[in-house]
Amino acid sequence: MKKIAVLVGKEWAEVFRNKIVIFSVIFMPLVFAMIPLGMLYTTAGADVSAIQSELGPLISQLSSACGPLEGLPCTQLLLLQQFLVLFLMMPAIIPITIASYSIVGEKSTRTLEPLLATPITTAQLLAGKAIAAALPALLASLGSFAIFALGVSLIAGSEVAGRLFSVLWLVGIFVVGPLLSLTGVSLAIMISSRVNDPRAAEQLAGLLVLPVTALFLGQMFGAVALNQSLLLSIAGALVFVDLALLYFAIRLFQRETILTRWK
Amino acid sequence: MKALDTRRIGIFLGIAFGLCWAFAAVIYATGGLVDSPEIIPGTGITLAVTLLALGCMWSPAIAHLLTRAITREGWKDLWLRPNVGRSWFSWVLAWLLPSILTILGLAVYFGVYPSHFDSGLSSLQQQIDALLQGTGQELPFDIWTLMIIQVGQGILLAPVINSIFTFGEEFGWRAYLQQKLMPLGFRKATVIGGAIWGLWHAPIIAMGHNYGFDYPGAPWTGMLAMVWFTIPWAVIMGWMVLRGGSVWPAVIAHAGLNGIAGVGAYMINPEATGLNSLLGPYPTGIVAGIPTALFALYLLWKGGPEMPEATAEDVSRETPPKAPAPSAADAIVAQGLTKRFGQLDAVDHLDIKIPVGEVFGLLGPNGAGKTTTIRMLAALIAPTEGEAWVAGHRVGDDDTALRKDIGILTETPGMYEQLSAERNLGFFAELYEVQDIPGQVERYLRMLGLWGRRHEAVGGFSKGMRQKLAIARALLHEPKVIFLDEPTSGLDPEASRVVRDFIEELRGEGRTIIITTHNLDEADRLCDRIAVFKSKLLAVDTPNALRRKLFGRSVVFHLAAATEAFASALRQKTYVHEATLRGDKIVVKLDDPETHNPELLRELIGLGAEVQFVGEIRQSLEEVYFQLLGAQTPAEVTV
Repeated sequence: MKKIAVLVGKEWAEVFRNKIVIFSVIFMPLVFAMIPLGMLYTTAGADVSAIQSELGPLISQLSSACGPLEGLPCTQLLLLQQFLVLFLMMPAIIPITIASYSIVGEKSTRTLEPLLATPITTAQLLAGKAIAAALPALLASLGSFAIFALGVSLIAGSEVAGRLFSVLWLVGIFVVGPLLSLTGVSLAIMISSRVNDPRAAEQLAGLLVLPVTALFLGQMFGAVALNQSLLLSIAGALVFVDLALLYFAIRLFQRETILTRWK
Repeated sequence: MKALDTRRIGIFLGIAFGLCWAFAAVIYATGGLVDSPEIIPGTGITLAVTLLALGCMWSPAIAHLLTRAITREGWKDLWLRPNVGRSWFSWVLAWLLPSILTILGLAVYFGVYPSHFDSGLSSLQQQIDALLQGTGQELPFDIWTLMIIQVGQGILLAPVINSIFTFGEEFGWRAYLQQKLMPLGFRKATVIGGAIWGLWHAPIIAMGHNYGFDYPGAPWTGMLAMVWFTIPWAVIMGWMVLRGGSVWPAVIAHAGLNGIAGVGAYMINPEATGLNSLLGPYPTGIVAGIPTALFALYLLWKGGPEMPEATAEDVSRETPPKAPAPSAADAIVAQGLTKRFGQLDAVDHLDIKIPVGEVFGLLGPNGAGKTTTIRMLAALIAPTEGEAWVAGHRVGDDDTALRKDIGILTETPGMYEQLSAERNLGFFAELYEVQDIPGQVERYLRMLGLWGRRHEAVGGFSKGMRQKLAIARALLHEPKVIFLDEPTSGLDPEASRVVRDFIEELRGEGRTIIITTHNLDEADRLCDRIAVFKSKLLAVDTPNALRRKLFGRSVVFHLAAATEAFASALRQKTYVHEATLRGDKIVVKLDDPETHNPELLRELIGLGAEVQFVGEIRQSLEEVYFQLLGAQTPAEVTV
């Protein structure tokens, strides 16, 4: 564990000198928290019946999420629910910049061989790299969610904010988010082990955002309803995907190939 | 006795339990075993059944594969070879034993509790009636015929069909966990393995309690009954695996067991009183499980299977015996060390021995395999053939331990450019588990003249400073063996000198140092012995010994006025191989100048020659190098 912690410390000392990383870890979560709050603010004095007639079928489909809430608070909650995917997207996207740089960065600075020559195992090395990338993203996502919940409480009241701590949101933030983060990190490390350029690694790993975006759009257009069962099924599927990605990340990290074939 | 590999056992159990229990949590949250939504409407295939069969039951197999991958254990001894010819009896037993023991168990149970037996099989009849209701059809035979068909299908088909799922469990529990527990002996390994296997079922059994699935007595008595069931079956299936040398008999036995396990439930009298799920009649029941337990006890009493004789094929799969470890006086021993990249032999059967405390030079042209050799010896890449020991460790055995005892200066001094010199060294010192990190970092930064710039980012350092820093990195943990790959390459003369002086200091400390360099003068000055190398080892010895072997020894007499007469007189001496006049010099080749020079000198003076001075011609190492590589030799040097 100590070696993993040491590696995490070194990674952070390096990557947090990079302004783009700082931007992605601090600014992006803030923006993602502000967008739904802005939307919520505009609905504060809205005509509920007009919104309900506009979103009638969707509201009837999702109104079970409202519990005892009715009228405007229920509509606001359903509106906010559309943005749950943003909070799933964050832990997936943020670590990609850090993780993409992880292996290929060591290669470009020629530090990988001295690093591999130390008594560090591949599992420790990859775990250190993965934690260094995922932890800031998870903390930023949680911070963003806290700001969001506080904002909701101020704008829509504590009743609506309290519903953000339902099973649906908690599973999303504390289960699916970290699992997606692991997906992003594993994918980025896997790609980072195979390419020679950090930018290529980042762009390839960035493709992960497509299915999450599709989920977001699908929900906006009413094609998908993000409910507890779906989220749990996604979590179950992600467990498999993450295990497979972790397996391949470890298998693809061939010390010998990396040392002898990289030029 | 071989020690338990607790790390791998821990990782395996973490994954197997974690995965299965995570799936169980998903099943619980989505309606449990009974109310789970259908994933393919109309088929009865629910999310719970899918997650159980493909997720939970396969989690031990996934854990097996992931543990091997994560811990880089390799892929030997997977127990997947069927080995039917080795023990066909294991296969027959695997196929039949679950049915035999289950039917015997039912006989025992209904013998003890005859009132529980329902000769009309009314519970099965009710199920059939419910199925046929409204279809206008009737069962074309009596209910006992159906029961016999059911048992027959349990014996004949279930071992095949259910194998898809039971392989997931057996490939984990028997092919991995049991083998990892075997240092405890057959008895403990199978009993402990069986208990773990039983506990792993806990969340499913707990759900049986909540949802009325087929784990009666859930959770607590169900759990107890499950462990009672899994321990004897772990003994029996573990015995089959060891006897057959394959996991497949256990896969089949488990599949057959799953197929036949439920038949007892159909024989229960619905009106019977005093039914106790802990006692049976399910195979997990204590009474119905008595024949199984007795058979397992018999196997435990026997103390494990007698392993059949290994076949020739098995023998051929065995790893060749390891060569004996080298003596403690040798820091490095390589025997037939070979590395091939595709068709290219980068290093071809290298045999060297480097004693402790020696400075050893590896010389050769670019692409000769010097860096590859160092990488093999530093356990960075694996040899294709051959063996090597470095600092007492066999390369490939425990490379992490080996890396602790060596230091390596890589060809390019890679450093984290945004971090300071001190932070760079501190990071590596932590990885090498150095005790006094600040002290060691300061010591080496001072020794190499970098202490004053310790807080500066390495990105601003000159190449010489980076090289010195990289040398410090290689030495921080006080390694026994140090590999220096071109330590002065690209350095200015001043920096090169600092590095050379530093190597001299290290030699004084008794460290073993292996240097690769293109600077032959440097190798001549620093190395006790050198190896000239071009994929194959061309020669290895001290620089002087190589000179003598290749060129013999030559002495030059500088005269005021040399003549052929003087040279001719020297040729008369039996120990002189050759005497050549070159201007005012006479060059004499002989074996032992220390003994014969005085006599030759007296001879020349006696003939009236005015000898100005005498010197030995010493061929440069460059000349030796080119001679060995078969190229043109440059000029001689007189010292």
